[in-house]
Amino acid sequence: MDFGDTEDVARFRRRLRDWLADNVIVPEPGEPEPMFLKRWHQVLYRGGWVGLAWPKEYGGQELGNVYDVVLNEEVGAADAPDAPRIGYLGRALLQWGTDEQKDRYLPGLLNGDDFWCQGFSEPEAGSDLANIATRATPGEGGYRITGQKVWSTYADYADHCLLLARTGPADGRHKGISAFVVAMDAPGVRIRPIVAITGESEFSEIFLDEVAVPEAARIGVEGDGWPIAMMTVAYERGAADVGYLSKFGAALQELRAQSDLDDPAVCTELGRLEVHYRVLGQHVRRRLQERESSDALPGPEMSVDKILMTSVDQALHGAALRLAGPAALSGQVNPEWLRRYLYGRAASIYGGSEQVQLNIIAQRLLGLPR
Amino acid sequence: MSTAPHRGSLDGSDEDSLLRSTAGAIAERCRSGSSEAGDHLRCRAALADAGLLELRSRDEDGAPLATATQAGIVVEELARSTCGAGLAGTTIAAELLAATGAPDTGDAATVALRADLESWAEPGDAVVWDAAGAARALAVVDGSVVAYATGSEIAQADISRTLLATGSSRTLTAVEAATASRVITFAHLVLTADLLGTASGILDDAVAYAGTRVQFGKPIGTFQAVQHLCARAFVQVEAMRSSLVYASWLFDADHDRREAEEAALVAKAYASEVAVEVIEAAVQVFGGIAITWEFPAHLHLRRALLTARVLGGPAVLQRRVLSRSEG
Repeated sequence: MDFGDTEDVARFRRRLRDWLADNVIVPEPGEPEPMFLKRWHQVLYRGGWVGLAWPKEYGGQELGNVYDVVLNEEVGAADAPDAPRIGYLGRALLQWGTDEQKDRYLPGLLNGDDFWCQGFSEPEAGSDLANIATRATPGEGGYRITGQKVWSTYADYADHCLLLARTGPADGRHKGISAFVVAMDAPGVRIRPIVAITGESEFSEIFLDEVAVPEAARIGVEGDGWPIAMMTVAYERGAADVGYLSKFGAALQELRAQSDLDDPAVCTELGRLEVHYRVLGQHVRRRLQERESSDALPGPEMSVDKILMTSVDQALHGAALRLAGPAALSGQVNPEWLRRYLYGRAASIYGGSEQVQLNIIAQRLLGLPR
Repeated sequence: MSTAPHRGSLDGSDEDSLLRSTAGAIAERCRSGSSEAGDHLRCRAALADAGLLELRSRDEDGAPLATATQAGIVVEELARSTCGAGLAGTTIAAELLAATGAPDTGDAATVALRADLESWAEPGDAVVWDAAGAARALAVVDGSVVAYATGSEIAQADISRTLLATGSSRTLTAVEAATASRVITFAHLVLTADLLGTASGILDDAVAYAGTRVQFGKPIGTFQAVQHLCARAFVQVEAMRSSLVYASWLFDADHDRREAEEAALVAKAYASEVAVEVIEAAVQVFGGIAITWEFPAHLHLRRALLTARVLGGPAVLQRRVLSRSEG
């Protein structure tokens, strides 16, 4: 296995690093996070750093996946905001969208003018996504969609939602699910931001009451939306998404700077966290190499990656809260280490809970019987 | 059917794969034998016949016959059967001899460590580790390569390997600090490979057993409690493999020695911590049979407990990683 940059990749990395040195932006006072991320997306787009792997026909550069990894690595190292995660939506539209849909949605997705959210999870369909109940009823010229979605990131700022709804029988599980693009300003769409455990609002509930959606907004064949959902989920937090690594690295540095390094027990604990953090980085590099040398879609091995990522997140932020002592809890409602610790508790729940990931590993990687 | 990535799926070349299957065949014969000392010598003879004891000897151009990645592959395969043929000690000693240009007398060598195993031997504090077939043991002591004669056997926890007292010692040659630390880096890779093999060998057996052992009318592998035990251990094995493969690549590429040293430290620190946990999980899956003397699970556990200490246990290496990382 060869982990080195090729000459082309090394050149790309240098060029990007130089560009980032002059172009990283910071939030305006009072600027909401999603608006800031949108502005950053547009800056990156103008710099020519968005859609690296996309087809040229749709504004991409047809570069290998490794370039997105380098983008994520360098953006993280420059302490810039995350690069936009549009690959998972782009792939779904590129593979299943009609030419008309590609022309309509891809440019705004690429240049950052349109903000997208995802309408997959429901109150009764979390890790068990096939249990969705939101219904799309066919009618004249299209569908009427009624139901409830949850955990949609920044839905209150979104222009479009890639949404799953049932077009087949209620008990059809994966069969009879269709994918739609729903305009978030359509009549009957109501959005309620969820105040999360940290006190912040990143996610929303979406309520749909007889929302009219034209047939032209259905992605793929009616009743055949499950593969679209699975592909989207597979790419949502793919191996290329290494932004979390630089976040963990920065948190470790910070924790170390405020710890008593004359205490051997503290050094052992920090050293252990450093070891696990670096092993995670080495594991991700291996995955990227595997992905580079294979055309296969990400599969059940992603569950291994998710569990490693979660364990570093939770070990790091749990230890930070402990090492920071009472000061991390007193004085204000939401001091930084508490906020990160609380945020970390979500890691073993979102994107398929820890228990579901373990089931996948046991049954699909180890071949244990069901 | 299992779709788990075969452990050789990361092997980069046909040569790597061939080495794995050659070593794997010897390990398979080792596994079917008893753990008597005489068998260690039979395995050792088989390794010698296949050229696997000379992986780090140098060719006429001074290049090693096998990469560190390949040495790791062979060591991992033999460790899967807790083979006690002295491969790890021999391979590290060969690297020390070759890297320092110390005269090779041809006597089989292994390494001499402090009695707590956590670093090279020191004056007055020296044992011979992984001693099967070895006539002498080497260590870096005060900037020199020192050879110890082997002494009497010491009773100790790892019954898959032989530990001996040391006899007289003599200094062979001086060694530069940079060379000594590169040998330690290589040793960390070998030891990580040994821990990986020791752990993954028994975990694979435990997973296979969970698929066939029936209780309450079903294979125990259908119970989520058992599945999750296996799955978590598998994640740890995969992470050990990732860090070994990456650190070995850095060592072989040899373009940044500091980075290679740190990656190997990280790999050994991690494996030293988790290998024992993986084996404990396997013991739990096997249940009662695993806590008997006749069943090999304890050979894995005992071996990992000691290998985890060799040239730095978890706490020592964790602190070393911290002190070397940029603050």
